[in-house]
Amino acid sequence: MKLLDISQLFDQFGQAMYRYLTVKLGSPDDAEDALQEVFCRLVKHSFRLRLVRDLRAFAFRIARNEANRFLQRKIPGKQAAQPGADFAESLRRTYSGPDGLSEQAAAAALAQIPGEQREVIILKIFEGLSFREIAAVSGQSINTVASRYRYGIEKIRGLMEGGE
Amino acid sequence: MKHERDVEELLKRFSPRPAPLGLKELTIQAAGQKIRESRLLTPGWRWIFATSLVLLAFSALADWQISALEQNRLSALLDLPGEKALSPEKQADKEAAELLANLPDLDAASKKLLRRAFLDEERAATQSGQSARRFTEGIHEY
Repeated sequence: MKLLDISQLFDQFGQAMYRYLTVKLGSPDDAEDALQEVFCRLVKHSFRLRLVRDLRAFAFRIARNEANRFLQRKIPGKQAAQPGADFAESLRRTYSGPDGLSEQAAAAALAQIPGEQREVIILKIFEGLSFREIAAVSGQSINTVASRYRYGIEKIRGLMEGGE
Repeated sequence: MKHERDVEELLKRFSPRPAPLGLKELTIQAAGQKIRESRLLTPGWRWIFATSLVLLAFSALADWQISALEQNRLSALLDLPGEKALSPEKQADKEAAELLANLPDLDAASKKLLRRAFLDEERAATQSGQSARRFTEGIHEY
């Protein structure tokens, strides 16, 4: 893969992957390191890129795998689990809400829901991926992904209303 | 359901903050550096590898040439059928002449019969590819 291709790939997905990695890893520095690894892998698998139908889903899948590897190296023996407090902070650093209050409330609620549901909501709402793409990224069925999304939204609503 | 929509609408109003300046350049540069570092064949090793390949090819070629030369020399020394092998007729004539030199009193019919027997034997040996056996056995007798 030429340097120009990497540059184009970054223009297409680089920023979105950086945001996703920042939220998933809870640290902009870790996200930068992981993003470099993601691009290394993309270059190494460049021969496959021509065969990939959905390049965005493929790129996010590599980013997700890299984030999980990164977290497993950091916290050996634990599956990619995101600490809540770090998440709320990293979310506010990555995305800005309509106003301070709702931003804080949404971030706090998102931090409290299970990681799988949170990941689907971030990819769906914040990054605009379709359920099909999220299913390809996470290796789950579309129904599972849609269910996680629905349960996650319900939990956020409950948390924001103070019901749970 | 309405509340669910409200939550979705609220989350959709979130917008991404800009990434740090120079992230693209830094990422591409660092990824390129990592790829260069992880390459199995560094430029130095690449030269060593290429030189080794050339030497290996050269030695294989030389070995083949030397073997062919040695084979020819051995064939010539042992008079084995090689490129310059005699035809069965000539070989039979030669052998018959050697034997008849020691049998001066043999009549013409017997000489012809003997030559014929040599020729048959030589042809059969040529067809079965065993013409060298007799010579090898002959050598071992000495």
